[in-house]
Amino acid sequence: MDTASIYLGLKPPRTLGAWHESPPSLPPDACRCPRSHRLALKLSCAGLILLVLTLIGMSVLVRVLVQKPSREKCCVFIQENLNKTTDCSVNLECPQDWLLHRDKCFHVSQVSNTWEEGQADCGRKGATLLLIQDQEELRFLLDSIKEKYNSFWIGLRFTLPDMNWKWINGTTFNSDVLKITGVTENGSCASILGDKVTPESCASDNRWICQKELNHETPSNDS
Amino acid sequence: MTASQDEVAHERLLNTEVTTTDHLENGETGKKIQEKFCGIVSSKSHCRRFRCCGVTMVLIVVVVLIVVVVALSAIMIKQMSTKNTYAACLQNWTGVGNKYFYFSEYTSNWTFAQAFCMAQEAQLARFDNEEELNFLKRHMNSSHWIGLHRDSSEHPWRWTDNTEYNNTFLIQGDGECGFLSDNGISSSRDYIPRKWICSRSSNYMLQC
Repeated sequence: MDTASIYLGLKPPRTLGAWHESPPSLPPDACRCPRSHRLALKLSCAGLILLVLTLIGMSVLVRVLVQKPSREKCCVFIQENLNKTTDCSVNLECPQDWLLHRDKCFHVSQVSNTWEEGQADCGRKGATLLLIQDQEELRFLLDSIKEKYNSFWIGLRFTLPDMNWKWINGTTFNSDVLKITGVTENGSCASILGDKVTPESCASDNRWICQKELNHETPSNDS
Repeated sequence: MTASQDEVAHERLLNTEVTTTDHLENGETGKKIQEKFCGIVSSKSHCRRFRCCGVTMVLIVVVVLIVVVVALSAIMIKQMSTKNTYAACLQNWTGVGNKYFYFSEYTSNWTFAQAFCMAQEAQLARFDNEEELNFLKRHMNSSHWIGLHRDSSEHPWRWTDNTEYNNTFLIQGDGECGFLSDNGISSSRDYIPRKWICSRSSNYMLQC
C-alpha cells in the first residue's frame, strides 16, 4: 500500500513538467514564418505592379507603331481612255490617231517643245494649235487626254501692241467663256493643265494640241 | 507505539490523497492548455504555411509570365521601329549610283516642291552627270520640277544648295525655275503646277 502510494506520487510531477514545456515552444515558430512570407508577398506585389505598368506602356507603343504604316495612303489612279464615237459624214473623217468631236479633229502631241515649235508641228499636219470654242469642248479634251499631269500649248498668246490675249485666228479672247489664271507677262503663251488656262513663257517646253476643222477640206495655216 | 504508528500512517494517507488530488487538477489543466495550444497553433501554422506557399507560388508564376511578355514586347517594338525607319527612308525612293531619287505623285509649284523635298531631308533633284540625267528622263511620263533656279533670265542658274550650275546641258526657255521634260531641261515660271523629283545622297540613307 505504501509503495503504491509512492508510485502514484512520482508520476504526476513528470507529466506536469512535460505539459508545461510543450506550449511555450510553439508560438515563436508560428510567428516567424508569417513575417518572412509577408515581406516576400509585399515585394512580389510591388514588382507585379511595376511589371503590369511596363506591360501597358509597351502595349501602347506597339499599337502606335503598328498604326503608322496604315496611315500611309495608297492612291490608285485608273485612267479611263474614253473612246467617243460620233457619227460623221462618209466624206469627212479624222486622220488616224486623231480624236473626232462635233466638227473638229484633235491631235495630242507625244513630245514637248516650245510654243512656236508646237504651232509649226500643227502646220505640218495641216492644222493649227487648239482654238477652244467653249467649255464643252474643253471638257471633252480633258476626258480624252491620258496624261493628266501634263500641260498643253493652245493657240492663244499675249500680243504686245494690243496688250491683249488673242487667238491665232485673230479673234480676241473672250473671258466670259474661259478664265486665264496666273500672271500675264510679255511674251506669254497660254497652256492648259486640267481645266485651267495658264500663261506660260512661250520659250518653255510643253506638249500641245492641234485642231483641224472638218468643214474645210483645205484648212488655212494661221500662225 | 502501535497507536502512534497508526496515526503516522493515517497522516501519510491524508497527505497522499491531497497530493493526488492536486496532481489530478494540474494534469487536467495542463491537458486542456496543451490541447488548446496544440489545436490552435497547429491548425493556424498549418493553414498559414499552405496559404503562404500557395500565394507565393502564384505570384512567382505571374511575375515570370509578365517578365517574358514584356521582353517579347520590347523585341517587337525594336523590330517595328527599325522597319518603319527603314521603310520611311526607302519607300518610293529609287537608287542610282550614290544617290536616291523620289518621283512625286501629285503636282505643285516649284516653291512647294522644294519645301516638300527639304521636309524629307532632301533637295529638289540635282544630277551631276549624263547617266543620272538619262535615268531621270526615263522615269518620267510628264514634266517634273528639278533643283535649278535663278533670280531672273539675266542671272546664272544655281542648284538649291546655291552652287552654280556648270551649264553642261543647255536649259531652254527664259523662266526662273528649271524642270525636266521629254525634250530636255527647260524653264518656266514657278507657279506652274508640275510633278517634282527630290534627290538625296545614299550616305544619308545608310545612316537611317
